Amino acid sequence: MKAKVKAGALRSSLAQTRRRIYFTNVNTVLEITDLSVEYPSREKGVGKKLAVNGLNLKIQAGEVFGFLGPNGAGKTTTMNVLLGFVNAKSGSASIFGVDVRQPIARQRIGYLPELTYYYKFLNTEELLRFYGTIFRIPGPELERRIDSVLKLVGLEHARKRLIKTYSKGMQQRAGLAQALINNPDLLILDEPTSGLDPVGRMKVREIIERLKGEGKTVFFSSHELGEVETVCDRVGILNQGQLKVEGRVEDLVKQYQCHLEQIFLKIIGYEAAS
Amino acid sequence: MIRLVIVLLLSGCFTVATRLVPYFEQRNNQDSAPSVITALLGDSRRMFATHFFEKADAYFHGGLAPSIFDAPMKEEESHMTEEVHAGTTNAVAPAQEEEIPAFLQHPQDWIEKFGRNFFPVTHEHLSDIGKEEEILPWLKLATELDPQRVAPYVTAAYWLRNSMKKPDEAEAFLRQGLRNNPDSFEILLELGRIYRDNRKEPLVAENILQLALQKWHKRDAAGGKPEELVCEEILGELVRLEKQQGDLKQWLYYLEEMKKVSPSKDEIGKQIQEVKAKIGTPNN
Amino acid sequence: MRNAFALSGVVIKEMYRRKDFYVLFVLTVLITLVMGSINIFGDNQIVRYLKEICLLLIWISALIIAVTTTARQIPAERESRTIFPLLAKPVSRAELVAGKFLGCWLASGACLLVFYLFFGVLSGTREHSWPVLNYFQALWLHWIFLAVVIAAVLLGSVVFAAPSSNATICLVVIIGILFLGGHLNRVATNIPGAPGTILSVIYFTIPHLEWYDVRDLITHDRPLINWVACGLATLYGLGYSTILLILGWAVFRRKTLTL
Repeated sequence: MKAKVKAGALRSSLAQTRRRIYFTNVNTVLEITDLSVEYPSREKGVGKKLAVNGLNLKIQAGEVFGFLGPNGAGKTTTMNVLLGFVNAKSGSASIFGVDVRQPIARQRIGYLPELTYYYKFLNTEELLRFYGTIFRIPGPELERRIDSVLKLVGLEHARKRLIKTYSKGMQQRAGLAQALINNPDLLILDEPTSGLDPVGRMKVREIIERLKGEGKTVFFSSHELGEVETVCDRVGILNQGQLKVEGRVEDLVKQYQCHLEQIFLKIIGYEAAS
Repeated sequence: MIRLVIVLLLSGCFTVATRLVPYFEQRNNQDSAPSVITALLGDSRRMFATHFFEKADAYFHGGLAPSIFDAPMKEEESHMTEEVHAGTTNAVAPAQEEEIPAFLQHPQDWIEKFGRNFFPVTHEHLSDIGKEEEILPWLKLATELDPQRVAPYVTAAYWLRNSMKKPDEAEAFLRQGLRNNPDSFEILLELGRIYRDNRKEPLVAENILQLALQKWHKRDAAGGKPEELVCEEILGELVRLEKQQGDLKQWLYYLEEMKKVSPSKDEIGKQIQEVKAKIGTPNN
Repeated sequence: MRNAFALSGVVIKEMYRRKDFYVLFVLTVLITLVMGSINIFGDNQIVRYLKEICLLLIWISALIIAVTTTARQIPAERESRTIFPLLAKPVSRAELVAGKFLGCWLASGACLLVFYLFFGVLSGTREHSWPVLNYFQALWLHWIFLAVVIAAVLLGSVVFAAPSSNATICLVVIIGILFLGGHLNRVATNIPGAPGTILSVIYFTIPHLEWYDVRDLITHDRPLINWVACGLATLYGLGYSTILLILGWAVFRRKTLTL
């Protein structure tokens, strides 16, 4: 009897969380509070290293946020925490008000990893159908979404081809398609234009701008500062695990009286060889 | 796809080879040439031959066989070769049917007890259901792997001529065994039985059995310690033949020889007296 | 559970798009037919040796398919990084483990069905009898056996980094249990002291997979197994599978996944 009551309570709590995810129109989409993440060091004799150190960040609905930093700054680690791949040492992170450690927190997000690898034995259509099923998108709606995202990323003609036969650019677009299949409100993109040719980059940029136009929130990391300057509303520069600068692009340009690239170099302490 | 084609081609080659090798061996009369299996397995083939002979025995008991961890099956529980030596098809003791054999009694724990639901635990014999032929493939394989092992030839020939009524196949198999084991008195004994019982050629049978007896004595003289039971069986067959043909002197001679090796000396002694009495009668 | 089924669908697709099953099935059929074509004293009624060979090949093939397919599931997801877009969706690690198990188990079941259909047709045409229930019991118990094997290999795949070492270790353990598992207690009683006790503990801890090997009963046309025993063996096998899966999940949930 007690077990039944307990199970009932658990079900109702889950349902409440799900309702909150779907129907709460929280203004703060992503919130990171005093986040620290440790990693075992690769150097001998050194125990653990802090990859992220006391990070605080808030991203509002409809924003395009550029997460910048040199290699090893902790950008990908932060994303790993947001996606539940890595546990934080301390601090918290939430998406749409739900702790990121709960799988349901990922219901309304789309994620594109830096290097895209998908099941080689599936074609894009099957891949999207599989991910769509995980998002519990009903059958006819899922078919419509598959058509629409494939059209958006320009892979309609290759929908029946196995992914292993795709070029790198096509694979990246397939990655974007899977990130968009659930019509996400928050997109987390880890260096989405890395390794793409200029046409590919342009295409990705167009898609981000289009999503921005639709009022989606985009959180993305990139080394392409010109691109960031063009599409981002706000940027944050991370160095050695700490957020050094955060603000609107125009404000930062005004404050530092230089381009974003120069601001970036200044923040990370780069000195040109004389 | 290419890998699949290669595998299919290899399998095809293997299939063709299994058909062609025996064909050409037969055609070229190269029975003594080492087979592919012999070349591949080397001396370890004898171990496999033993395993297959034991498998034939397990088949004879409907899959019932002790593992290496169990006490071996009692002598009276193994009948595959016993019937061959008894020379009759009705040597199975029916009282033991469907009983749990000794090595399966008293399970030590619930796991062992429950596990007995999933393998044969009751005693049955293929000879009771007329399916003795099922043991033949393993016997044939045992001889392929170890042609110098005599028991599979004799056992297979016994069931071939008795239950399956295939004396031609039995003879061919025994002759193959004889080519590989020219000094085997066991094979000659079985061959003699074929000529006596199936071919109805007592004279040929007598010659073969006499040769078997010679081989037995030869081995005995060489210190080979041959089984006296087999000698008794050879002499028993010869006694029966002489009795059929009415040659009293030879009958008496074989009975006296038999008495030397048989454990039932009193019984044979009585028979000797009877034959002597017949010889004393003027009609004979 | 829906996520687990979706994941299992991907595993099944992988299985039928790879060539492993087809190759093993064709080899099984070819070897069985070649063995069946051998002339044994001109008698074509001899069938038990053929049943035994066919069942042995089925057991070997099914074990290879189940172990190799399962062993590569999670390591391949990590190596090819497909696990990241997957876990970025509302999928828990428990669902991932359950989905992989379900996929491998269902796919192995489908392979078993094809193998046993071939076996049924082969023995039926030679013997002119169709003991369907006996074959069903053999197939069912074989499938339950594979559930334990797959759960064990999944646990191994989150413990050992390389799929090849996992597959080798699991195969050795499984074959060891099949051959020796049932006799360990008898051996233990003859060994005094701590080694004997350890052997006894192992005996009572390991899943007794040898129960599920009913080839001798099928080969020798023995009567049906008691249905209650079949049901209990099913519960025992599924119980062990669940324990192994929970252990696998417990190890996997603590794993840090890094890009």
